[in-house]
Amino acid sequence: MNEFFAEYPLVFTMATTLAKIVLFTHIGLILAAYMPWVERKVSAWMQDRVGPNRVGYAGLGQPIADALKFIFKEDPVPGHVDKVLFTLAPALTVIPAILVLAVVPFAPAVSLFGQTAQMAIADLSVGILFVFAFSSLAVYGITLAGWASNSKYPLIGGVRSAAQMVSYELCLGLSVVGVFMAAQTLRLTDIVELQVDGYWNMFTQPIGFLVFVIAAFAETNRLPFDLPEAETELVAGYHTEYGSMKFAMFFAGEYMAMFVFSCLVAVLFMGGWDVPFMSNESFAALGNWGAALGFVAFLTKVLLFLFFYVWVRFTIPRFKFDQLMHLGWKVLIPLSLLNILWAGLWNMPS
Amino acid sequence: MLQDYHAVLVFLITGVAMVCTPLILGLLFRPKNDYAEKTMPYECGEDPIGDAQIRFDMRFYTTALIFIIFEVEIAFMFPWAHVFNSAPDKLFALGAGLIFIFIVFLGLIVDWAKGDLDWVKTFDTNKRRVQD
Repeated sequence: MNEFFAEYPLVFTMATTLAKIVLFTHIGLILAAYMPWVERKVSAWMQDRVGPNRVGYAGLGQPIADALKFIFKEDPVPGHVDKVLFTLAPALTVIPAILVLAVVPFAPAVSLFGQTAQMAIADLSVGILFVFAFSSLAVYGITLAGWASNSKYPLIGGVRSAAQMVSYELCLGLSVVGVFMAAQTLRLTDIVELQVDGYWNMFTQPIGFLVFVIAAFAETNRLPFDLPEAETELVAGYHTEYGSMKFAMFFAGEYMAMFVFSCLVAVLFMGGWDVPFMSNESFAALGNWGAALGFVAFLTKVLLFLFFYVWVRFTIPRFKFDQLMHLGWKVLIPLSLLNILWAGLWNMPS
Repeated sequence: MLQDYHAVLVFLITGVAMVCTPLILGLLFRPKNDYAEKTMPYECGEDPIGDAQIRFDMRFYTTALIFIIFEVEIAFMFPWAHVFNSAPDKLFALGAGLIFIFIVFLGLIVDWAKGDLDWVKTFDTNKRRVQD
């Protein structure tokens, strides 16, 4: 095997890439499917209820039952909608969320058959630009859903969502500038390796971390920023007219985006696969076991942040729209500019 | 180099397939039973009046305009951040960057002062307000 792959490294790359795509999409999909269950269980625990417990042990079969129901339910399409955009919109919210996973490094590099494989599907040199390019496409899905529905509640939800997502996109972009100033690279694998055995960016750039986390909540339309949905005033916001599988797509897209942003917070600010008191050398010394350890550490951070998402949802009430715009433009943007100054002074030679 | 983008392309196809499969699968199994009332836009039981694709609030347009300007400024900031730590004179690099950021921020302040960032517009109410 070793000689074969040494002679044809392209075969090795193709095989590992396919394996990584299968593995990482499954992690993403399973987490996205079980997040609603986790959310219902955690909210039940916080509000002293029982939560889902009918389908399977502790309600663990709930996501499967829901998926089957989504397939067999009727899909009424209102007569006034723009049919093409109406069908395109759910796909446009899910696909960008999944695509961002391509650049997330899940673990240190693995060596197999005398070759090394990076544990990101595509270890792009412009990783973070790729992330911004695709995560901002999600706004099209939601806005088009609101517009194509040709109904009043979705329209309000859609335009609100556009304004909210573009406003917080700015804070998101500005808050990571500090990370690049320290790391000198846009490649996510390198950003993690610089944090291993050093300082996690959340400690060296607390302001940037705070702004990024708040903007991540707003970008994924999660409480306290779920104005596009706002069920108490807009029925269900931009997906009021959607039913069956198309609705499930919006749902899956939202949870997928939560997973992706948790990954990004872990990679950019919480040291990625880093375990405290481990250096790059000690990871390398452990070989593939080091990669496995890093993978577990990375997933732990992601799961903790996903729990934080749920925790916040049941703690902080929703903002009003003027408060949302005020926070985005007048508080977070000046704060993220301050973070650039902070990062510049931090990296000064003393 | 380009190999990485091939992986992205394969992943894109996977993503599209992942979205299309359940949609098409449902199309084969689900019942279809439409009638006029069911295909009406949902407005909590009221008959909808008029089209919903109307001209909406001007404030969304202003927000989008300011966004485009700032997004371009951020795009200019990324290359600077990329080379910042390897600059021969970091103090000069930081100063140059801060001048640029200051000019950007000046734009924000102008918008702020003109009230473009206020969602709830306030008018000069002093003339009308009763002394309280």
